[in-house]
Amino acid sequence: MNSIKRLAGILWIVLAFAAIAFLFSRASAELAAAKVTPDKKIFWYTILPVYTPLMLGMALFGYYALKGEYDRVKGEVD
Amino acid sequence: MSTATSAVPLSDNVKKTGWGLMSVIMASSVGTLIEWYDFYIYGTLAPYIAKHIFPSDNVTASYLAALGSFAAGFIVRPFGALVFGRLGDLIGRKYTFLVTLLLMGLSTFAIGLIPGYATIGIFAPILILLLRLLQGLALGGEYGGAATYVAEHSPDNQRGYYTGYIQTTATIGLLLSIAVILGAKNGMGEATFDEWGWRVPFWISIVMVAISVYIRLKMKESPMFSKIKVSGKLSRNPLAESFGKRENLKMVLLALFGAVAGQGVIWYTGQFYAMSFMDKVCNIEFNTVRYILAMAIVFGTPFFLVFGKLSDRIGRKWIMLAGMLLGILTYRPIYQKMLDISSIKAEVIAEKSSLGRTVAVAATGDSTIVTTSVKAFANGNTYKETKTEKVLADKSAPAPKAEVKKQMWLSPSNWWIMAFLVFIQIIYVTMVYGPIAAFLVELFPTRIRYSSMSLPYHIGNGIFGGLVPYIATFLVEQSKTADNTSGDPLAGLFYPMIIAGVCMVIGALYLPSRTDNLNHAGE
Repeated sequence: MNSIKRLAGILWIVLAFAAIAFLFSRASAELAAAKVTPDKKIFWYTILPVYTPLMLGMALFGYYALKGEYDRVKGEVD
Repeated sequence: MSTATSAVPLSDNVKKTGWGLMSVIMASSVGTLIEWYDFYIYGTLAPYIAKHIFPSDNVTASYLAALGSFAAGFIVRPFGALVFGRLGDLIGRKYTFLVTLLLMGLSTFAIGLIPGYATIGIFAPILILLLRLLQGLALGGEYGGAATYVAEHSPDNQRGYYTGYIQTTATIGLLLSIAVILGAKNGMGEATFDEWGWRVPFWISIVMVAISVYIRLKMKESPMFSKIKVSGKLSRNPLAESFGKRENLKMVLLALFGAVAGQGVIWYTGQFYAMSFMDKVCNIEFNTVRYILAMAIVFGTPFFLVFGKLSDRIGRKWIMLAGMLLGILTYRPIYQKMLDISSIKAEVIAEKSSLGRTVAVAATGDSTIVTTSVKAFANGNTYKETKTEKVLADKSAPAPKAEVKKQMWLSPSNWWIMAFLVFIQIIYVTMVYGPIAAFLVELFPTRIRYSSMSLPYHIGNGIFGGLVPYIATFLVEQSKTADNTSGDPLAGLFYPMIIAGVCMVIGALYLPSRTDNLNHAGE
């Protein structure tokens, strides 16, 4: 089980950076369009600064998983 | 940082049972409930606030309106968790959540006092935005304190059940806000409510807060906190210890990505996106939507205690993950059914349209024409569409866009089906939310518990969850194409389904079935 937990860590890191890349590519495409409505501007200027650090947190979670930090959790009761 | 070796034995007074413990729970819960009420009335009264405070013809004010609704309300909550979580771990739970209660109550009361845009101009939206920021900060500090306080009083084998009472407060707070608003609206009439009556629910808050502050002043500090304070084991810098030390940071990340993010989206989909969907997509009449939601909440709320109690017996993890799984599997069929029973494509048995009727002519010569059409459907529903067009005297000016108000009244049988569909979603909410307070409390040691559990809770609920209606609505808009101008009305569900799906897999892999750091100072 612990090896699955560690291997899945790679998945969370990839997923986090893929999400960041996806958000930035969508935002740049929409904000570069000829007609940008205020709603779209507010949406992307809200979402990017909020979700980017969260996804970096997910990548850190994946890194910890990869390093085996979650093999056994503190205070775990059998 | 040690674990089991640093155990601090519980004093006898912690192990209260019966009325002693119940009074602790009630005193905490009433304050938390009022904070949720305060937070929700802003959202429920948003159309009135927008009309009086944020005029649509002023671009800057409209921007502030949008920022006020989203940024202030939800995104600020994690900052409140940091500020007040730190205070709670430094000076104690009791005084910290007393401060958050006062802050919330005074901010809410003040919102009801802000003069309209017509009186003080741009200062009106600025003041509202600032007060909304304070509300978000206060809520960010409140919940972690109340949950920690109750959990630290509860017996080990009933923590899920007793913290379940705190978990009911968010839903009952919403119910209370709906009840007060509908009561005020029906009592004083639509015109008076629209003119100034919408301020009353904000003013009522001060009375409730005063009562709650009085109750909370009589409460004693959490026994576990008192114990580690006396023994000099308090954290000197809870934030650095919670988020700067790898040992705790990894648990904060696990709590967020393995439990609270999924819980947040299930909660906000079940209560708020369901409401928004009935309002905006199904076009169901305003009061009907609130009554349906209220009915579902009334029958669903006891299940917070049921699942809290069940989590004491079989563990928290699988109940929460089962709630997420059920949401992922059934959201699309549930929302499809909600669409079907309120569809205007149903068989029409009677139809009546009025001719355009000029109802007002302004001094400028501009006139307003109102056209209504009513349809009765074979399934018993009734639909009314009111189109309001402004005709300008100056024919060379571009014609303003017509306003179309759509209202659907459901037949009694469809009303109950809709209420049942919302009720099912509320059950999912109770599955994920009922056990989460006990789960979070048990994940962190006493000396940094308030800070450590508050941040993931408010990121999960305030950001992942709180932005569900916003992101879902955006996804529906994005699904519209030239060929399909109405888009996919269910496209918005992808966001909560994906977040819940990822969270469920992480939770299943990494969350322990049981943890117990509650009786450990964790130094």
